[in-house]
Amino acid sequence: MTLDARQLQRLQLLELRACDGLATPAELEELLAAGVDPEALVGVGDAVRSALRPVATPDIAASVMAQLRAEDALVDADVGDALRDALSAPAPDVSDAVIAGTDLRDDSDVVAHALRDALRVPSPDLADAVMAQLGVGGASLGGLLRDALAAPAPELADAVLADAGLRDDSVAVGGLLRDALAAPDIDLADDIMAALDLGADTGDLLRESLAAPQVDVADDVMAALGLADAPSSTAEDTFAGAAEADDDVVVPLARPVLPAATATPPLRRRARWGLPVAGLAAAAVALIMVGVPDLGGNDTSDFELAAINDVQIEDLSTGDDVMVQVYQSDEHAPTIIFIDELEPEGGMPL
Amino acid sequence: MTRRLLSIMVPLFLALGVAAPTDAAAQQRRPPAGAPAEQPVKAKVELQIRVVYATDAHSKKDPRLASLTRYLGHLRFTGYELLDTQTSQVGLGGKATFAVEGGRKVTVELLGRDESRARVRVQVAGSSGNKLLDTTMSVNRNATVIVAGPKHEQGILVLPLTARY
Repeated sequence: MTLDARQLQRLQLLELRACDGLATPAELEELLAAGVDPEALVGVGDAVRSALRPVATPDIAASVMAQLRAEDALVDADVGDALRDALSAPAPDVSDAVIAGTDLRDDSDVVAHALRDALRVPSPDLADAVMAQLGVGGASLGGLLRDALAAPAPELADAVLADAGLRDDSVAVGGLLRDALAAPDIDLADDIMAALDLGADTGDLLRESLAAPQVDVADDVMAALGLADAPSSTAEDTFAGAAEADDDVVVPLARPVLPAATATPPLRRRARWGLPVAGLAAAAVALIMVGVPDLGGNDTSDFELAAINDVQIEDLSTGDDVMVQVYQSDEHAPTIIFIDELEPEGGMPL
Repeated sequence: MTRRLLSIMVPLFLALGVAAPTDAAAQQRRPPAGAPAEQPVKAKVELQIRVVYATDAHSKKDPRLASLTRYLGHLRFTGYELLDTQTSQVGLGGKATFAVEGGRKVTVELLGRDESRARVRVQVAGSSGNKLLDTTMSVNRNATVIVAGPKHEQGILVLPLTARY
């Protein structure tokens, strides 16, 4: 049975009004007349109302934020900045937006994790973010470190060469060493002449010889004295020994022609010539003092041409695009075999 | 007077003492140009090549080429410069290869020799190893033959070859 206010009896209505304290005195008298005590009804409404009133909702947000603020205070703000820089991924960080919206200035790891968990945002891979920041895409930092540490220790020689700025190249090292050892050019003539206690004229002669760029001082001294019959070939000295051991001799490519200034040998090399030079100086001085005997030399030329240069060609062949002319200017003159390498333009004319 | 005489004679003897072995050594080192056939034949023959740069870029004549200048003049260049001298000693059947400017190679093989003449084979190869010249010739003792023509810079190379023994 449902209760309808319109169907309430007069007595029940009066009882409700009495409970609510709305009953008039006439209505209270009417209740009393009906045998109902109006005083017993007073307060029932308050009790029922208080029982039915909902409990006040607790402020959960406030407590959570209070707890977060307490934890947030434990994190240094500088660490947060450093992490933010390191973790700055190209994708937008939802946590930052949330933190900014909740007026939290620090996104410490604890805060970030709590918020990310709450927002169900997957935690970013810190390693990937750091590697991306370092520009090492997809590589394992640990692997790189292991590879670096597993590399073989460099050889001491290499380290020394590298430290000295040298290459592992004998030519380059040799050049650097030579440059390093190249002391300022010292005129040995003065020392020799001082040791021999000789005069200035002879000293000038020797000084000119010793100041020449060629190492073979003997040639210069002998040439200056008119004794041109001296050996002049450095290749001869170098390869004569090898030729004794083997008849087939290969002479390496000639040294480049250098200006006199750069061809000056370093001090150590010249110093080795000290004793021979001193001996030649003594001999030269003696010869100068008594005059130079005629040994049949021919001025300063070291090219000795035979009086007769007879050549009989038995066989001659040339390569493709090569033309050869053979001629002799006079009976005993050296025969000239001229090779003309033909070119599209017709080669070089004689 | 005696003292003055001594001051002259002592250096004179010293000079002769120095000069005599020098002359003797020179004579022993190599026979004079155009040596007679009676000279003993050495076991080795000294092969010498000069590398001369002939050019019209200048008119300088290297004084070391004085004895050759009159013959080089036929090549009609104005300047001659001695770039290099290489020497090798070879025995009978031996050969020497000389590397000259421009990556070229000159190989001289001693085919035979007696008291008066030597027989040699001369091969000249270009920078790529291509054959330029291959000739066999007989030359008198200590004679010089000139191979010329390979282009070099603004001129040519002239290669006097001498077989001395």
